[in-house]
Amino acid sequence: MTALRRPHLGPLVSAGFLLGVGLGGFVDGIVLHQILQWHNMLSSWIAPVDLVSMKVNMVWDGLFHAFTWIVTAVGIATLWRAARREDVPWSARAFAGALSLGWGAFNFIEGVIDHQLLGLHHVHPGENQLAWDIGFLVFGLALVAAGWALIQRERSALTR
Amino acid sequence: MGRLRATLEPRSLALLIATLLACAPRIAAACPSCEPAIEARAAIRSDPDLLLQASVTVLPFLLVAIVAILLHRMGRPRPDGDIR
Repeated sequence: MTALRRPHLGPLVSAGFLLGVGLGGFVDGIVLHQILQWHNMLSSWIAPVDLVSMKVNMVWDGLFHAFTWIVTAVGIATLWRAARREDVPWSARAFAGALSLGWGAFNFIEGVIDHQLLGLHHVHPGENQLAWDIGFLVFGLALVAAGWALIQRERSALTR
Repeated sequence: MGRLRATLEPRSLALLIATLLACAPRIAAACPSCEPAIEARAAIRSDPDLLLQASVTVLPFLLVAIVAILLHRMGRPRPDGDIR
């Protein structure tokens, strides 16, 4: 007979977080880099003004997508393992919160490092560049806050 | 067995051939042996900031990996039974 174990949300939250990072990264790469072509990974360091510099930026965009893919794959593996554990509650609310938390955290971390500190690229270069960058960070923080609130609600429900 | 037969239908085979043709490197528009592609590869290889650029590209992913590890431990029951 196996002893009952206390519920542990961590594995589900970390899986959702990684998948949120991955999906958010793909939104950034596909929508902002490729479809809208507002920026590329190193477009403020290597301006994509001709085909060669564009191709160089495409390589770095590819590296960005490769790491995004790895994070997504690790997220799927983590979710798979979490699903097989009896002590991990299968909560849609916590998972949705973790997805939002991951997307927002990645936007915020990537925004602070790449846009603000290193200036690798900006969300929408040119006029009002700073406003676009700050808007990106605020959007990320809003996702983090919403995600964290959902996870905390689930945790309170579990410990009640 | 039924599934295997379905994949060998002429329509499926035609789709497979069309896909392979579409992916054939000879007709690919990217042209890896064209001058701009060669120049781009050479520019990346000879860039003195190559390692720096690679590091800063990877950095946000390393930070989120650390956060993911911390979240994985969130709420893990302690030996005394309390939930963190």
